[in-house]
Amino acid sequence: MVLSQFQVVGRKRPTETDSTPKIYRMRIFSKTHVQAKSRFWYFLHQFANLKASTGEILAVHEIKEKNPRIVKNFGILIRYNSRSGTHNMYKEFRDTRLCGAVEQMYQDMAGRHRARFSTIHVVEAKEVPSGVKASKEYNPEKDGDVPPPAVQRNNIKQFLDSRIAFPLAHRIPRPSQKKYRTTFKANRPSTFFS
Amino acid sequence: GELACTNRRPVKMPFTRFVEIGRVALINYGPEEGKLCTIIDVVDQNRALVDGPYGITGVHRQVINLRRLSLTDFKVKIGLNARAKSLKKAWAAAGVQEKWAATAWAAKRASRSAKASLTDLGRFKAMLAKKTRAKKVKTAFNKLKKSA
Repeated sequence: MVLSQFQVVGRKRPTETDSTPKIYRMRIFSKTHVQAKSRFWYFLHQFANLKASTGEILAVHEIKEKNPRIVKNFGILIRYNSRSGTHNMYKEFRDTRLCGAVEQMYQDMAGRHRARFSTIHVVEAKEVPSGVKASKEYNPEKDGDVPPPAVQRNNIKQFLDSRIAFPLAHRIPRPSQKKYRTTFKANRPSTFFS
Repeated sequence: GELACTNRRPVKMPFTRFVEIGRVALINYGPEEGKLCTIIDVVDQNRALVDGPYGITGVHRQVINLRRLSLTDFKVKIGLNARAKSLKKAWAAAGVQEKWAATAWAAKRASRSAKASLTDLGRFKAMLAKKTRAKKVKTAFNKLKKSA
């Protein structure tokens, strides 16, 4: 599923008693801006006394990835419904785009917990610096004991190495195009390519 | 960590080609098949961020699955997230183009693609060339056989 990030801004329709109602803004991950608006109302009627018929959407903008040319670490906080309860979870993913990381999260939740799109709420999804040094927000005088945001999961930490190197073991040979596939081969395949 | 890579290797591995920053690889599947590229960052276990550099090999900067890469013996010296300009310089310094063309792997690929793109006249010329060579080999062989 290819997701995009949208900023949806909405408020209750102004009335005589309340001429400037509170404006709400949400960042929604969805396939289209139409689905984004729908998701916006879904969340808004849970958080506020507001629904699509009583409210109005002021703006819907797509938020594009600022720099999709570098690999970043993303931490995603989610709330999801399992078969027997609802839980919070924090997951980390490496990707070039925030939307890519959120897509990975949905696939991961589906594979590991059988959780579908409709049962998952993305509470927070943001880039996480790789460590204390990389974190520009950390100010020891201001923050004190609060640790700076950093990658927590070991499966992501293992890739935070500028001299990373690993071999490609047990390679399955694959024809370069589907038309070159054959049912039978003359020789047994080799899986070692040094 | 205990990583057995080309820079620091505590353990001797049977592998000599590693997925690492600067490794030159051949793309073996997909629309960019047959082109060389350089690994400029590793996304995760299955994906790498790769760049041609575009000016030399025609591969744009993109994320590619490692299953689509065949690692070569060549490595260029670059830092993390190298820009296209520094990547081009590193390629020139390492002489990757010439070294790759000199390998048997590249020569086999080139001869196979040359044969596949022959016209009927080319195939005819190849047939004549094979015939002249075979005749020369056979006459020399028979002469040796008679004298032995």
